[in-house]
Amino acid sequence: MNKKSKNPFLRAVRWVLHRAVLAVRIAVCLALLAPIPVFMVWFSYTVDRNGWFQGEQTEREIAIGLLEGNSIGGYEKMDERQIVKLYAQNLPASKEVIAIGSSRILQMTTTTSGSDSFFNAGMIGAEQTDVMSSYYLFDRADRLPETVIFGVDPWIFSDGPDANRGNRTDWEMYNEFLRYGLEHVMEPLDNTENIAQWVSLTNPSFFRENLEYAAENGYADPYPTVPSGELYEQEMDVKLPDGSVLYAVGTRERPQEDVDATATAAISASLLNCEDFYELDEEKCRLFDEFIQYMQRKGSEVILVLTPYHPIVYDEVMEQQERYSGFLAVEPWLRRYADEHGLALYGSYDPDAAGCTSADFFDGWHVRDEGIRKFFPGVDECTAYTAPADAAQLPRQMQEE
Amino acid sequence: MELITTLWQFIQNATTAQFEAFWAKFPLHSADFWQALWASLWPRDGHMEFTTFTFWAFLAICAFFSYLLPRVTRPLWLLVCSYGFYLYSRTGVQLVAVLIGATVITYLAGIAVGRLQNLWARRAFLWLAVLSSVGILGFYKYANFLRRTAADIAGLFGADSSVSMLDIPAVLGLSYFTFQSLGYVIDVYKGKIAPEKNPLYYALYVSFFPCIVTGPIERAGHLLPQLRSPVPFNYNRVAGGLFRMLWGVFKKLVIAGNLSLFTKEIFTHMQRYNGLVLALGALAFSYQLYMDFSGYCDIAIGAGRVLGFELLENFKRPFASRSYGELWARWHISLSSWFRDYVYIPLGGSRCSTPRHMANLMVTFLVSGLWHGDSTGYVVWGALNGVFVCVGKLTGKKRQALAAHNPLYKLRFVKALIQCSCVYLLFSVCMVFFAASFYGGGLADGFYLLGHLGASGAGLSQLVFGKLGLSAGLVWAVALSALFVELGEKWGRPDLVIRKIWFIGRWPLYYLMIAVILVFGNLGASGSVYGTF
Repeated sequence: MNKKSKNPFLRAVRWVLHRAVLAVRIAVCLALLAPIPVFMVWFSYTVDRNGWFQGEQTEREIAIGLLEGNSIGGYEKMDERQIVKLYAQNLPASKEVIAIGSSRILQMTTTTSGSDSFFNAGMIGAEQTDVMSSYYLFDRADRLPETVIFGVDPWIFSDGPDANRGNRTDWEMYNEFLRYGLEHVMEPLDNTENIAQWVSLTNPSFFRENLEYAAENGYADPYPTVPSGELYEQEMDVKLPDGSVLYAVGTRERPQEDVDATATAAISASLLNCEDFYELDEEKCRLFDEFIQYMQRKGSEVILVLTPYHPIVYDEVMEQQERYSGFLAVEPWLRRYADEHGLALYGSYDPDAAGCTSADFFDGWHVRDEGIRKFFPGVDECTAYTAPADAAQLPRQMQEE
Repeated sequence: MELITTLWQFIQNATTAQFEAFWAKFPLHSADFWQALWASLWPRDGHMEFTTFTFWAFLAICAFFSYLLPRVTRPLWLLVCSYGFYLYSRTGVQLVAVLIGATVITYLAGIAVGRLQNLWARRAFLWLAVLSSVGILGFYKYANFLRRTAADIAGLFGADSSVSMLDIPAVLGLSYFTFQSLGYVIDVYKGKIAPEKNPLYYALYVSFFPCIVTGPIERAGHLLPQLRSPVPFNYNRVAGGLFRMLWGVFKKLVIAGNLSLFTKEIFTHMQRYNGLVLALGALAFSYQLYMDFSGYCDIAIGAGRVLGFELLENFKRPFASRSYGELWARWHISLSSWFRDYVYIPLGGSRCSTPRHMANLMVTFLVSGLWHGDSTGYVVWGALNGVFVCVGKLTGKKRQALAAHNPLYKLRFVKALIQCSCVYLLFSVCMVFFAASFYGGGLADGFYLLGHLGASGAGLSQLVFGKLGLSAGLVWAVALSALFVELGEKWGRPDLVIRKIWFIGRWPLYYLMIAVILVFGNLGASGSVYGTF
């Protein structure tokens, strides 16, 4: 006779023990198998060939390189929006000062800013959306600066068709900024795409794609680290560790007549992002105001910097005042705004008012570091704006008033 | 090898901090994540492929509840799962009536054939089952083939040979469930088995989901008793079944998947390549098909074991065969034995005159070719196989006599190698027509390949490393994987052998196989060649 059937208690114990052993065996199996999917997901997340989680691999390496104090070549090919995002994400501690704006502020260096703890988060062709998002990147990473040097470009107020094309804007980030930064009441953000990206990590095919991507790109170096001794010999633009850009030797050492010719050619074609700009866009002015308040609310002191245009360009604008009425209206509005809100404001779009000459420019609208020093004293010297007593320090259109 | 190096570098450079940062962000806590993950598992683009997570998740759910529920309810649950599997694809929803219809007709015919005493009445019900099954198969699989053939014949007599094709959807598993149900009725008629009275068991037998895509074509006498008496959970059986499934995925994705890149390019662009490449393409296709089909069958058999059922073995190392006849006793065994029992033997088998015997063989292989698809390429494939088997039978004794004088045959290894190579070569010649049809070509493509084995054109390295962009590492990985599989299967059934290996040896093997699948597998190659039949 079967032993099991004799004693019901023993049978019950045997039954329980059998199942307990079984449960343990299954648990051990699952525990031994678990590292495989976990590794697969982690690897895909880390390599992240689509730039969903880490940003593009290359941009991430650039950001990490900048954080390590390296100068990186090949700036002209970089996706700066990604780099600033990744820089902010990986920044170990807040910088005292950051600069935001377009490429027209990118010559602002640690020395020019007057702070040893400085990062220039300027981006080529930055729209209002980009500028706002770039500050928000530091907010969401909890790395807010004490001072923000805001390089205000005129086109961020433009109502013209040339403005706010947003070709390069990270719209997802901008939407997030509006919702969580400015606390706008908006439709809830659709995060389905983001969740789908996380889910894709569980896909073996995605793992394989990442593996192939890592194998292919792991050794290539399109963005070389430039030794500090060779910085000024580079034939490519170099992103410096403070975020500012050192142009290629050819751009920096361009003869003055070539610079002037570039400016002439530029203005005769069009004024960057400011064509058909007849009046200030009310919505953009309101957003600008909200943005300033947001930065102040976050505890950042805001300094507005108006980087000048090349004299040839500005002369042309003054000659076609009707055509550039919107452009010419920006600076007076900003000066009034700074006055009313107690903000510091330095520089002027008018090179004469800023004290710059043709020699201070690389081209029609990019001023050299030395040029910036002529009108910007450094953050420690900055004070709230007051209308200058000397009319020569005002732009020409205001002098006429 | 760069892939392995990259992985190794990643592991070396990985830090705990990186992992912790990743883990902290991973949205395991998010209901949205789990919802999206769940949704991603059920894309319903086609039928549920065995090599996808979807199938494995589905099987896990089926098995979990199968063992959790009382044993009496298990067949009902498995029937629900089988129909769930069938209805997963959108065409399955449209065509489930075909499956139900075939089940109901053959079930009732089986009952009638089993109960009725009158021979003519029994025969009438048998023919009802045969005609309805063949009718369903004929309509859904061969209607367009018959229309096209009829038009071609009409064209020979000067009539208009143009014909419009009917828009007939492909019914999942049609060839398998019709043969399974038909075999059941014939077995009942012959008195080999008693008719199944319980419609639940019978419906499950016809639609049992591990078998429905690529077989094996089960026999009622083998599967029905198991369905009636489900066995309790057995850890070793389930673990062995899971390993058998992994084994199948390995064969399918690493070997067949990568070989398919090679053969597809050759069979779709024959004019580009030289004769050597064409020959290698033909040889590779035979092995690809074997790995593909047997891999899928391994998954089916493994899934069956996970659920507590033993399914029929479908392959027994066919390329270790010493004769062409032996090959067919080892290749697609469930179909070959089905044709043997229900076509070849009723025709008279071998217990008749030699010419009749040969004719029976030819008919059986022609029908087998036709079963594979509505293309003349498959018919020629069947006919060629028939010819080779017939020639093999007719010349067997003379070849044996000659072999005694062959000095090479004195070495057993050399003899085996020569015999196996000859079988493989002949099989590959037949496969040329099969492959041409499978890749959308026709009979002409098959003849083109065989007629251009001396042609000039792009070479092997241009194809493999240039056009396909494969790495030497991948080529080595496929070759070593094939060697590993052959040696493994020589040792015995993978699901049984693995349980004899000690834990310390078993788990590294699991890891190694999964790593090879992830790194070298053609992860996009999900469907089976035989799933299309």
